[in-house]
Amino acid sequence: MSPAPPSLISGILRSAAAFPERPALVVDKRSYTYRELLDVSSAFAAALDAHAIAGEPPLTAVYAMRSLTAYAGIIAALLRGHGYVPLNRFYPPNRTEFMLKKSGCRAIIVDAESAAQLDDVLKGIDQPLVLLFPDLEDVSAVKARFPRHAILGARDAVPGASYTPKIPGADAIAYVIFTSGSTGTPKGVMTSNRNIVTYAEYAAERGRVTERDRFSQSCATTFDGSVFDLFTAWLRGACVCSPSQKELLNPGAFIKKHEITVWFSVPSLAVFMKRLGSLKKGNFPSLRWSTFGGEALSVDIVNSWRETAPNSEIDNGYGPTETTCMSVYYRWDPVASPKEVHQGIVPIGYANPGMSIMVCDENLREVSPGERGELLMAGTQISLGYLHDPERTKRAYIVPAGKKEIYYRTGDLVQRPRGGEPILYFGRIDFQIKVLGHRVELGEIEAVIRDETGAHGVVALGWPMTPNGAQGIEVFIEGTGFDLGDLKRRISMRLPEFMVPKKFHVVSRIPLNENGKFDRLALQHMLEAAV
Amino acid sequence: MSVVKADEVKRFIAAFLADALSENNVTENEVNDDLDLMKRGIIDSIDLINLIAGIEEHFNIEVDFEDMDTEQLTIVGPLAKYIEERAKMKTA
Repeated sequence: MSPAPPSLISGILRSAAAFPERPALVVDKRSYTYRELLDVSSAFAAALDAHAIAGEPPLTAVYAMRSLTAYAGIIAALLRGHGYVPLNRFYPPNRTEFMLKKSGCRAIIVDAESAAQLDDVLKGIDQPLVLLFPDLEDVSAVKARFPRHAILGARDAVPGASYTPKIPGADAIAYVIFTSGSTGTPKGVMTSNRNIVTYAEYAAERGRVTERDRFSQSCATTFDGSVFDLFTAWLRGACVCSPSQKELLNPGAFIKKHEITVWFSVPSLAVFMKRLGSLKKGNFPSLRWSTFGGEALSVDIVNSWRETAPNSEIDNGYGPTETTCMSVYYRWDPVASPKEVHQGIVPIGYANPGMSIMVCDENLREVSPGERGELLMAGTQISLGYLHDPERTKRAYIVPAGKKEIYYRTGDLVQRPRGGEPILYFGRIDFQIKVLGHRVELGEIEAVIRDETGAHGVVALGWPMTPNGAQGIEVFIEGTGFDLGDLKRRISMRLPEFMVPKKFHVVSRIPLNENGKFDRLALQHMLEAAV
Repeated sequence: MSVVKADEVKRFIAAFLADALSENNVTENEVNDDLDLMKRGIIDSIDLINLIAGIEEHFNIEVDFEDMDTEQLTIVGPLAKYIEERAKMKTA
């Protein structure tokens, strides 16, 4: 294997040079070769460069999803020497507006389906932007809608022209992905080229990926699991197969139709597939490497998956966005693993090469082997911090006493391994939960509801609970006279769908525990009793 | 095992989703064959699974959905028809 490329784009270009006629992407019922994908991406990059706003930060936003424009947009940002900032049309426009403002992006690539909400997204942006609509032949209507911004369309980005890529340094930002923040606003995690290249090269080695592989792409690009699919594949000349929103409802059919060989998803999606009847003996013979991540993995899912995909290795991957996709891995072994499972949950395993761990008590002192504490991680996958947020960066990225390196505090509760044991995962130490694999700070939801209602007594809980987190959110509010329908509508304008409470319980008083805090456990029991 | 009729399934869907339908201002009359529950924002993927579980429990059947055209999975008419046909196959 040749040495690791210094930047993500040099790795992608290396694949394009080695395998120009092999498929790089399947999307919208069409397949694109590396040459075609690079042609389209280069045309986007050239169009944006030609109209670049002086002094723009090296970040290009991509407001596009599961379209050629979405994937070519990501590569175009990288070709410009920029990091990409993925945006999601299923997020409320003012959350997207916040991400745009925070990142300071002056160039945005927009696909046809996302363009409809642009009025709401841009209404609070004062600076002029460059907007590229590669799916629009005629942009005159858009020009009239956004007179302050420079508008480019398909005719400004015709594939075929040559483009000289700008290769960034290893410490330059490769992407900024936003995660839920407990104080009410999302945090933009800055991941460097070194971080993602280190990770994706390791993943490609771990899965012995070649140009013949076909990767699934189950996560939205705003979720950091997506970088596994895209870059592990594209660093080896493999193909990324992106299902449409509708195809995602039946992932089993998609695996078979596209002969997927490498699978990644949150465990919830496997549970979903089981419910649809897809997890049956020998149903996915094409799969040879399956990874689950983003939530605790139960042994039940592993057993069903082994039967369904008899030719597939199974990995459990763990890692917050801040430590670049997955930084701890566990390979399922049919003989040894059943003995290592704890309470039905598969261990998260062992830190990647180049990564080291500490397991600490609340005073950040290392606990003894076999004891539980917060997981801290250091090494080549530790990201650069939160964009324009030195305060929150300082709290999460720390140098513990007696150490020289920066450790990221994951907030996850694990057991410190004894000897060669794998790391066991026990959930969160704070009020963060996983809803369908998405990190959700309950405090962020509570802060938004307090802001909307003026009520102080607000408790958000994950409900109904699943082995992997929760299916949704339910909320208790103290007080009277709330217009709940209206409240729900207003919350949906501020939070993504997976964070919007499914149900509100208005109570005269929220019970307190012995420390005078809201008794979350008592409320949890009320929900359980109501079933 | 009793025979499941597509019309019964449709009626069940309307009743099962009554709250979500009214929240989205969809009247009972609008619950026709062409209504795409997901496109209209009435259900998300989790609600779909709950709906399917509800249908299976109510009609005491188990349906394998993998062979259904994904484009039609959330459209009332084709979904009900598929369930009717699958239930028939199981009974036969």
